[in-house]
Amino acid sequence: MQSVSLDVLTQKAKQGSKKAFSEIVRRTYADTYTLAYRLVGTSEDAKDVVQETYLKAHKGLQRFRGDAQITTWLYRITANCANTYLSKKLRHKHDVLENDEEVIDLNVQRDPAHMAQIVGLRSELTEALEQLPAKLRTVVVLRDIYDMAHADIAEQLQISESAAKVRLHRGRQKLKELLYPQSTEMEEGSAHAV
Amino acid sequence: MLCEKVQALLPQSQGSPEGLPAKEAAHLGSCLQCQVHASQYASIASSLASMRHQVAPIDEAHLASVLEEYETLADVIPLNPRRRRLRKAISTGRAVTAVTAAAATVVAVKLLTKQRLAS
Repeated sequence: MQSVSLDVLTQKAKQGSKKAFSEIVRRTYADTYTLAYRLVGTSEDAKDVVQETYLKAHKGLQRFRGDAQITTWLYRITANCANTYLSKKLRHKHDVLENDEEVIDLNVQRDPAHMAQIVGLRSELTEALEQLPAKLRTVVVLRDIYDMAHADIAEQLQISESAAKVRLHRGRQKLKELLYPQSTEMEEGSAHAV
Repeated sequence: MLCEKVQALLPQSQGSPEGLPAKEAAHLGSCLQCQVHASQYASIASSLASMRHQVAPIDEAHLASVLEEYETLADVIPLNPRRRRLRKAISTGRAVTAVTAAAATVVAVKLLTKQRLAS
């Protein structure tokens, strides 16, 4: 099974192979969990979202047409489940984020100086992302990390495309304010001076 | 005035002059203050994009529980209900054929026995 591609596994799973679906879960679990964690912010919540994601994927596999990769399809389901989960949760209490887990970098970059710069900003960025309100964070994560289309984001979050764009705009602005506060203060200072 | 306009557009273009209208792009090329903002947005964008390759360590116990739950569910709700229905129909058909064949054999044997006795 290890050498079989995800596309082949998907076909087999659609034909009813339990083994193939289990293998898809094994292979995509880390990615799905990472996205869920980025969206909901805590390990326990991410696990619940992952569980729900695979249940939905199992139920909806026959509707998967194969026009996108199965990983992209799973990202959409994860985004949808995380959104539902957060909406339910936020009805009861405010977002509490914990920084209890590190993520492993699988990207092999060849320029060490560039890499060091990115790694430096990335850890601050992770913290800044966690400080964003959930609504803004979700859109920034889906668009700027996972490169999901505006239309897909809007569909999964059950909002209009323009609302998704507005949230993205605000999210990026807020991230910059958090990461470069001195630059924002300077800007405000010069505005007051004028 | 133009600085404000350019800086309001920078989140959308992620610091790139390419996403800006010609006038604003030209301003960005000459305004140092706007360039600082643009480079900050560009840094954030490239760092966010690079996070795509990060994955959380696998929690084996949780993965096992997801698989276990799936296995249980797969027994209740088949992955491909149409296929399962087809299989059920085929096996039912086979059973009916077997019963009919057995009945026909019994009837044939009885008829043959009757004929032999009569002759």
